[in-house]
Amino acid sequence: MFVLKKNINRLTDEELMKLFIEKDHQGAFNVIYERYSKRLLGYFIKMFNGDLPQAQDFVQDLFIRIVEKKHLFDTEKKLYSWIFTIASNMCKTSFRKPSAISLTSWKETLEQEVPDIDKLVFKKILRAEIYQLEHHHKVVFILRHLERFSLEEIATITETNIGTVKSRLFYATKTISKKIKNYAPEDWVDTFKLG
Amino acid sequence: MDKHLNESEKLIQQWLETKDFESLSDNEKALVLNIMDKNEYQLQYKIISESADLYENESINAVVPPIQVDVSGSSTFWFKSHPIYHTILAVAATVLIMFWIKTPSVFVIKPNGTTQFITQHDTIEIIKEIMDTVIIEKEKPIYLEKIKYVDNTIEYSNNYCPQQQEDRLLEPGITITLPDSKFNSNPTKTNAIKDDPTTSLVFNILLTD
Repeated sequence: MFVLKKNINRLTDEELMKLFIEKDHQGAFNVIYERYSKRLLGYFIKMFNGDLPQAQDFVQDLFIRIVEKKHLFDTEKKLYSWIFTIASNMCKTSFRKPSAISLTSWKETLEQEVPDIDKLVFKKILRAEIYQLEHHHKVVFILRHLERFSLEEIATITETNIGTVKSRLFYATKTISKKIKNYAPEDWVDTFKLG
Repeated sequence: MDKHLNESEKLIQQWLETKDFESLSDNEKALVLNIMDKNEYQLQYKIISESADLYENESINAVVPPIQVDVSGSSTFWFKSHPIYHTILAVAATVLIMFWIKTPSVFVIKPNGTTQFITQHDTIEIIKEIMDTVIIEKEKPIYLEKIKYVDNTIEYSNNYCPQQQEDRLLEPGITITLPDSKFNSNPTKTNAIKDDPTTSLVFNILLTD
């Protein structure tokens, strides 16, 4: 047992999960929590457009689900994909379409406060547009471009294939670009015109 | 529903993540321009590249809440969730036990056959009587006993005189001797106190007085 405690941090995610499933090992669960909680919190923050309290609640709920549904985990598969699948499904079931955001008023407010505002406004609008994407587009976009998952990993998490993931990424980006093109910074537009 | 990408779109999707428009070769630019204009490509490239650090500050400063899950408490039977196959197995086992207890009747349907009424007996009643008493009739002669009373008439003649007892008081057969009235048959067995030897045991006071 002493050896186990000493080396528990060296175990892989799947070995820790197996230990937790078979023996209800509290230490193994704690290590899993340490490894994943921060990243999951970041993921939920992105999914909820920076809403930290909601993201924290979701991290708690997700780990409670892991404890309750641990018998459903296939130890032959990767733990991260299982956890992010649960996380994505949680966002889907709790997802509420946000009310339309007045982008013009944002820009006017920010222009008064910050002199060089274009990039800041663009980022703000970009966040809002990502948040307003359809759920299946938003998940793949955030997992790919904000969380840096590979296409194969995203396909596993979303339980689809790589072709579907590429397609969703392509159309998600296209949707955002349609809505956001009027708010692109001036220097970018100039560059486009010169080209 | 998103349609699947053709080969050109797949390539553009790949370049959008790695190259801006100016970094593309001439052939690549030509292929891109068949799908979208330069501004559109450049904007999509910017969207992807700017997305990487959109929530960087929030994610770094965010504090992970401490976990409040009692792992040991979750293993109690009644509050533990069970896999669905456990439930299916339980239902299957219940059905098997039901069939084992009662065999189901088999219904055979013959679409072109003639209808017949078949009497089925599922209950056979057997009445068994055990005769353990034998009655044998035997002829037996009947004896009749008659009691007949016959009146006997005694005829007394006028000379008949029943014999009486002799005059015994006047002529007793025995002599009775009477006891002497002066003889004391129950003499007194007491003594006078002066003649009693046990008086020595009595206190002197009686004597001196």
